[in-house]
Amino acid sequence: MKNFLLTFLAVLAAGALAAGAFFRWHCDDALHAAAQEHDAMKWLRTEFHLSDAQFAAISKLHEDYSVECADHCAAIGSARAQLAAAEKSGQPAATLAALRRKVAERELACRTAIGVHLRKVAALMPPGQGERYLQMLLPRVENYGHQGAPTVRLDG
Amino acid sequence: MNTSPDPLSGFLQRWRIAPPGDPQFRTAVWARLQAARDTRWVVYVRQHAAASCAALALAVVAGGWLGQWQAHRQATQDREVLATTYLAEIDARVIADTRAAPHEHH
Repeated sequence: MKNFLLTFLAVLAAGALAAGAFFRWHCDDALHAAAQEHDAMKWLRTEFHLSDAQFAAISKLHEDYSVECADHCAAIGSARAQLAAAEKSGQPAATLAALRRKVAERELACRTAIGVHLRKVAALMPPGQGERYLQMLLPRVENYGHQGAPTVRLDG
Repeated sequence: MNTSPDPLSGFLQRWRIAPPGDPQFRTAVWARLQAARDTRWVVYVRQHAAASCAALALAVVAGGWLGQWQAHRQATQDREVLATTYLAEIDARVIADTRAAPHEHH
């Protein structure tokens, strides 16, 4: 009985060792570190195998886009605030519809701008990686209106 | 018809066995029991080589698969977190959502 238990424990230990070894072997440490730090740019660099030059160019592109993004954010925020105020004060349906159209137009402008930006970023990536980047992110941007904040289920 | 008593019956009644006494008998039995108990583990494994190897192989394959699956699962979750973070940084609609309801977002 003692030997049986010893054998059982040895087999269990071997299984645990194999699990640990395979986990370490397949684990993407850089990806995990970036996720822990919520560092999207670090992820971008490792996930899409960017060279230093490509990473610098993409970072610059993001910096430039952040100004445009802030303008879109302000425009959308303002339109949404107007709509919320109109709804609260019981404005006529026609006014509400016009304000809703305004929000939708500004959101569309934002979505179009993100699409253009993502394509510019993709163009700076190594061959094949740009397509993967767009396939991963564009559908989430397009689906914003249907699912609230962009969904990022990558296995879907 | 022969009615005389069977001599075999009397012989069996008188038959006695007197084996020579072995003072070590009890000790020897316990010694053998103890030896069986003390079989070394390596010997035990050799005696059950087929079953031991099969169990070991199964554990290694199952463990390996589990480790790989867990790493893949973690990578998927990490990508999800990072893609969310990335899009939240460049999508003005999400930023506007966050500013409108900061308590609902991280």
